[in-house]
Amino acid sequence: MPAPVIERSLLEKLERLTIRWQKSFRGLVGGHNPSRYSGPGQEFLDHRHFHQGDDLRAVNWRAYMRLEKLFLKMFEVEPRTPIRLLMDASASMTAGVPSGQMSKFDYARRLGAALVYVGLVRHDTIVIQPFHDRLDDTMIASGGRHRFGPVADFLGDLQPKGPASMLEVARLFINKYPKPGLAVVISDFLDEQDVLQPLQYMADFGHELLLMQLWTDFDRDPGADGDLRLKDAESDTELELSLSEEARRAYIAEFDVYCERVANLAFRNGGRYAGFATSLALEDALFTALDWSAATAARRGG
Amino acid sequence: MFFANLTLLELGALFAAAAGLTVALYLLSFSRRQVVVSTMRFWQAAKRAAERKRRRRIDEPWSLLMQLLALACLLLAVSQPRWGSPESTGRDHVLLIDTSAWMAARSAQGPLEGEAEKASLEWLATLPDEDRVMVVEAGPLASPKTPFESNREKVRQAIRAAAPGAGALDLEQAFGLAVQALRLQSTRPGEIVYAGAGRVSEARPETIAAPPNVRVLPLPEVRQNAGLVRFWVSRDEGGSGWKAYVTARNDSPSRRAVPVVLAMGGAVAGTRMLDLAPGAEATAAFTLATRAGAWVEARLGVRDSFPQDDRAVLELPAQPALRIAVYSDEPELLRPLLAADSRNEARFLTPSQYRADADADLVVIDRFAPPSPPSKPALWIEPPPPSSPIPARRFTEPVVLTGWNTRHPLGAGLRSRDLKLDSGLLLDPAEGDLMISEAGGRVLMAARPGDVKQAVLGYHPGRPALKYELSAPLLMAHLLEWYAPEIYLRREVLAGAPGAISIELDELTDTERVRVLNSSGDALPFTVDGRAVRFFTAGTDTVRVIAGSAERTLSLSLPDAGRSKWTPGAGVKTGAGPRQASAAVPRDLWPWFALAGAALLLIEWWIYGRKRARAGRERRVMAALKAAAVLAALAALMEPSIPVNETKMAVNVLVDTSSSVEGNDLVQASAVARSIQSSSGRHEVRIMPFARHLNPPAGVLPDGSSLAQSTGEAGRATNIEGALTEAMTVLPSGLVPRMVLVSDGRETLGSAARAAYQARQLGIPVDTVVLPGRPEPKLKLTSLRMPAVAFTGERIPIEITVESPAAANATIEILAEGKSIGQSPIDLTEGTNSLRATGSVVTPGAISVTGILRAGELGELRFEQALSLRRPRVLYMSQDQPGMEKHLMGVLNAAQFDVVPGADMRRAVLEDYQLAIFNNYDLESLPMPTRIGLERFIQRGGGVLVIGGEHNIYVDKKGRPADPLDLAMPATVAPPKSPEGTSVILIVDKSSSMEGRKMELARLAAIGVVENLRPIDYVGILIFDNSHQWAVPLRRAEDKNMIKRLIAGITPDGGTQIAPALTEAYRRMSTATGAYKHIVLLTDGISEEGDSLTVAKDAAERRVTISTVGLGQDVNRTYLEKVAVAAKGKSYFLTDPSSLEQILLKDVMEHTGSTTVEKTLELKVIQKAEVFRDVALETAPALKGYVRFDAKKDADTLLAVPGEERKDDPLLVRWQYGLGRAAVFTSDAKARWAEGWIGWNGFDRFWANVLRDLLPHAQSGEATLTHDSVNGTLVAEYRLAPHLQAPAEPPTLYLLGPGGYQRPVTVERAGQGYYRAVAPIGARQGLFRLRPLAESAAFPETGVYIPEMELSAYGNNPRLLRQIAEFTGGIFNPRPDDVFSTNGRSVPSSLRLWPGLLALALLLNLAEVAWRKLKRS
Repeated sequence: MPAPVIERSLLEKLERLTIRWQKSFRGLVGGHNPSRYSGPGQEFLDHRHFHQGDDLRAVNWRAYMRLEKLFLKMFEVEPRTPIRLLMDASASMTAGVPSGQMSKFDYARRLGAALVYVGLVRHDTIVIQPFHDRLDDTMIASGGRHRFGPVADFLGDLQPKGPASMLEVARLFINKYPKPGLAVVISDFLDEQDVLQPLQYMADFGHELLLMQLWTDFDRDPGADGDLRLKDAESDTELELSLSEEARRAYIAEFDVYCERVANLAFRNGGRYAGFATSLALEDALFTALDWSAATAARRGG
Repeated sequence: MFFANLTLLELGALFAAAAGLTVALYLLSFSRRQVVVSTMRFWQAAKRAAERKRRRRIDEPWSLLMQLLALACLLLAVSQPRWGSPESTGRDHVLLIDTSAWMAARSAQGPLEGEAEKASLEWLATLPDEDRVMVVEAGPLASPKTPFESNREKVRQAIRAAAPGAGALDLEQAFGLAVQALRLQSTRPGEIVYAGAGRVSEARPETIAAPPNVRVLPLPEVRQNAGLVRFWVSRDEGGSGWKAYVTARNDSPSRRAVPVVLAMGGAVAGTRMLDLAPGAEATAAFTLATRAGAWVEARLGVRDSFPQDDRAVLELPAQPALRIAVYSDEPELLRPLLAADSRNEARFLTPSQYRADADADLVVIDRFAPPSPPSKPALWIEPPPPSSPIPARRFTEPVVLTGWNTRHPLGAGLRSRDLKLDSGLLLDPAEGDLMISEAGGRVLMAARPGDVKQAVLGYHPGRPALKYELSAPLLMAHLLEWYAPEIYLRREVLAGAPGAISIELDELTDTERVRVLNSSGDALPFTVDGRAVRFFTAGTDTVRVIAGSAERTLSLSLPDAGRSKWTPGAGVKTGAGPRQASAAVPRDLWPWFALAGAALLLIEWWIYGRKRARAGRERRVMAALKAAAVLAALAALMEPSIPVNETKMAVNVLVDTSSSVEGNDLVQASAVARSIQSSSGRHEVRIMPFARHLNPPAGVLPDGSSLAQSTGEAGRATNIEGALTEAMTVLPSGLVPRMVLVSDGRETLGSAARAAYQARQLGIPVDTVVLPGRPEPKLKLTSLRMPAVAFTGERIPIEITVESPAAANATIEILAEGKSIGQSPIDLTEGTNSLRATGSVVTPGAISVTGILRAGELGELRFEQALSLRRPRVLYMSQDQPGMEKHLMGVLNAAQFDVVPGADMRRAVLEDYQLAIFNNYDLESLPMPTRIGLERFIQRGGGVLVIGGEHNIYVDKKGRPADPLDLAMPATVAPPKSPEGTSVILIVDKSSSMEGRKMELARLAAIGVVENLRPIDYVGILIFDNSHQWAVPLRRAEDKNMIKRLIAGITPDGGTQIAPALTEAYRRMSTATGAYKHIVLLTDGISEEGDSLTVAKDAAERRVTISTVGLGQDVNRTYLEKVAVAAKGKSYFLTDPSSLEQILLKDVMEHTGSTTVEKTLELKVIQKAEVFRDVALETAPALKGYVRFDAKKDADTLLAVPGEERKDDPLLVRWQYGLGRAAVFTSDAKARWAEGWIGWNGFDRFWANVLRDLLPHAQSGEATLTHDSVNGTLVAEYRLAPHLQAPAEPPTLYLLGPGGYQRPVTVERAGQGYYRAVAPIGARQGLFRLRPLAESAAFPETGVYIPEMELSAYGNNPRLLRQIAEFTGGIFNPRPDDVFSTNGRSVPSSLRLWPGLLALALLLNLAEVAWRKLKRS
């Protein structure tokens, strides 16, 4: 069994946070964000039996008084702005891990879990959509903080596999989720093919992008020197070279340029971007890196 | 330079491997760190930057070079290079330091011991440094004190540690040990150096065979000594006291009066004065009256150089007495019987005083019934029947004593019978009781053995009637001895010298019950040889030999000064010799290489390795590895070693392969050895066969294989001592030693007891495995007859007579020097069988011929005798052209004849030969003295063979005195058929067609015919063309020159008219004289026949033969044939005239009665003879001619050919003339008449048989070698044959014996033609040969075979093997696993660590490099 995806203490700190988005999405109301569109909103859908952990506020008390049974009113949740968490579960997420550090994938899981928790606390519904070269099974997280357990299990059971193909993923994503919403992408964005173009497509279809780029220390700086035989984590291509200081500098420069381009893409489309190394503590990442990015474009919540 | 640890190949291989590994580490791609990266996206940029850089950094070539250099240095160091040459390692010497008792003697310069030490050290100083020395202390036991040691200090210590012991020197054993040590352990054997006085105990020191490489370091002479030789004390008869005998000897060169003092308990008990001549011994006797124990000292009152042997002390044991309580009313009857021996202490009491627990060793109850039975051993005399311990009843009728049980000691020697007893008891003994005397089937006296011995006498031995019977005291003595045997032991106490000791037993002693105990009560191993018990102690000890009723105590403290002095022979080197220059000793170079390697490693690390490790942990590991490598290399320089307790065993398995171990025994022994070998595990096992000597180890014995028996002389002895001592010296040091002896225990040489002693001293357990040994055959050899001298290749007849208990099928095999030379099946009948076997040997010299008669269950019988074989010398005379005799020579050489082609018969000394062959030789041309000599030669035993040929010419000797040679020969050349001579007319065609070569040849042919005619013959030559004329009118063939001239004058001319010429010739011939008339017509043309046929027919009637010869193609063939047939001649037609002469001659000879007959002949066997053995005469091809001989009346015509007029002409005739034989073979043995025979496969055998048959069967002289067993010498006697010239100076002969024994022997003239030589051989057994350096007719090689125990003893001796095992701490008949149980024994040794440390440094360095190159993360 994998270790708990996220610690209790951290979850408590996360209570204060809110996922915000900047865009107002057409035809959608609710949530914690002011919308320029107003309307009656919540539409009843169905009843269902109350289960332990359901929000008491959603109980149909009237039905209770008549039938002396707890029924939960089910509403169209759509009114809320859909939040989709795209988790990169490709093989490259496990690569380039310096000893003693957690892999990008583990980091991404934790980060994702934290975000989902934040959403659950605010009764947001968040679709967790892992992907590699296609979309994997989804999990819909909703129902308040008490429903975090299954989310944690889901994330814990995720296994990274195969190559990533952002283009394919973007195509599938757009098809699967025609309603635009907030697309939180947690990935290293290190795809052999072009990543920027698919992201641009997503933005063009109205999705607000929140790009969280992860990298390990090694990904950014492979170290001083030495003879290396490189093996791509996703494809089997290999490369041999002797790394010199000069080459290293060239590498770092190239990497930084790439991150810049990813960030630019997010900003250009009114989205947000946060990039950080896995060596950064998750808490710091959540409260500084994310907050920082939020502060630039969103109000700070509770 | 050479390598002591590794070979160059190994070094190269190791270096190649390690260097390859290092280079690979430097070069191979897997030195790159493999990294899985998320994307290749950014690496392209890095790669572009890196590629420029890569070319500048071909991975530190200088670092690699230094690594390789360091590697080379370290590996070189491991291989231990040494500067110098391994060949310059020195020789190995054995230093024998005398540690016999005599070395304590004082010379003028000081003690001999010190002198020996000084001389040894002096000699040691002369040795080059590289020589190794093994120090062996040679006393009664030769024990190595060092291995071959190059460390001089250790050698010096061993030399200084040598101290005289108490025994005498056994020099022979010491020499043997040294020789074997050099043989088995040394690659370059040097000298055997003996430092000592050479005083040995052998009576005949000259029989000690010194090895050829002996050097003797002489010591000062010590001459003044008189000492005790023997000192023994024996119990006086009756046991009242002791008799002491002291024997002293005077070894001084002058006469001495020696006072002998005997002291007991410090007080002088007697003195005697012995007057001793030089070398003489005398004994002084003393009587000592004491029964208590005491110390007795014998002392010589002399002052001499060797005081140690002037005094000896013996401890006399106290004499216990047997306390007897006699309860009797008539003590007087018993008193004389008991008072006879002072060892009896009898108390006489009345029956009323009887107590069951009387204070006595024996209770005698005389004719009363005790109230309770005694608790002590008791003798009951005629007890009342109810009280008798053995049921008894009283008899009233007189009884006669009829017999004694003499098989039991109680009745031994009792003879008296027919004693008439009026009253007494008859006993009824139970089972287990001993019956002593009986009376007609009834028992009169019985004894009951047990813890409390009881005996019942049915009558009173002291009765007046029996008082004077001799049986009574003897019976009483037996009874008392039976009750208390220890009291009546006959005791002797002797002082002796340690060493090999032999004690004679009494005749009656049962050798199975002999025990030999040392002072601590341990049983010593001993052997019983006849009646002598032999055992060995090296040091001072007290040994008790208990055999039957006698006990001998040997106080082995008297030093043995040695009875005689061994002096080195003439050729032996003496003194230390000059100092020898040392070759450079190889110097070890490895420390320098190790140091260089370590330094290189360090520098490489400092320059390159240090920087390679970035991270702290990496760096620490790498630095630690490097430091460990360098430290290991440096630590090796200190040459550390760790003490280990080695439990690995070195087991030498000694397997007896002597002649007595054969067949199943050998298979069993091999199986034992194999099972030990296969269960050896990590232990070292060497299987070493032995017989007379230890042989080099056999390798791994494969399954089913068996060790080979030692053959020849080496196998005809079992030397267990030699094998054990030699195997001890070859046990590798540093391992736990053990030996396994697999043998039948029948030792015939040496003393196994001594070897066991030595093994025990060295702490080597000897396990013994006993083999069943040869079963004793039931056959008995009653006689053996075999010639002592024979010729090589001759069939040697061996006649034996064997007694067989039953009829059986047997085989008899004859072996020469262990190799089979013949085998044949024989049917044995019950009783006496006379057998005859033959064999032939082709090598000359004295050999031992062994016969083995194997008769299945009856066992096998062996006999052996020496046989001197000589190559017969043949004088070969021939007038053939050279090369013609090669076939006969081939036969002679193959048959081992020494052929001497004789050029001049007049000078040949016939006595040097056994056979003379005259092959196609004109015997008539021999001068008279030679003819007389030849006759004598045959008469005295020589052989003469005449082989026919055209040179055998008849000479008419009518009226002349008898020719001695003709008298001696069995056949003489037959006279030609006509005594009056013959007439020959040649008719030669001189027509012009004969011009040239034909004529020339015709002339030559005619001359040839004339040449071969005798002067009494007539010859005429008629020539013809159209007419005819006499070129040579018919005349006597006297003036041959004139006739030849006439023939030469014939010139060809004219035509051919044969018939007139033929008629003319016939006309002339018919009037001629002569028994044989022959006309030869020679023509080459055609002519009218005329009346030729009529002439021819007439001629045939008048016994004139006409042969015709046609030359060329155009002759009238029919005509010529007709003429020849009509005139009983032959016709020949030749196209090539070159063979004309031969044909003409042959024709003339055949038709004129010459002795030579040339025609195809089938031979006839007239007489079956031994010479035709194995020759298939019926397959013999035809012969093509022979010379007519007349056989004499008494001669044996063996072969014949059909002659004329149905009379056989002899082909092979032989006879005995005097002692010799002569034979004539009338055909030849070459490619002329015997052309067909040469290729015949019976040719060789036939001639070899014929020639051998002629060899003398009587010795010309007489040479005998006999063994004088009393003196241990061989005596050779030579009686020269009368014709032999006595040599001015008898030659020096050499005696060669078993075990490499050899010595020169001087022959002395003892009379006219009689010579004698005496050679000492000691107790050696086996085949001895005596021969001069060069072969001599007067002193031929002779041999004698002294039967060896090895072959005459049967069965096995498990007792000896058991004793050896017990004495040395080994196991008797161990299981294979038992051999390898160390029982906690281990050998401290040390393990050299430096090569391991250097190897460790190499490995650590490689690990560091690997770490650096592979694990950079």
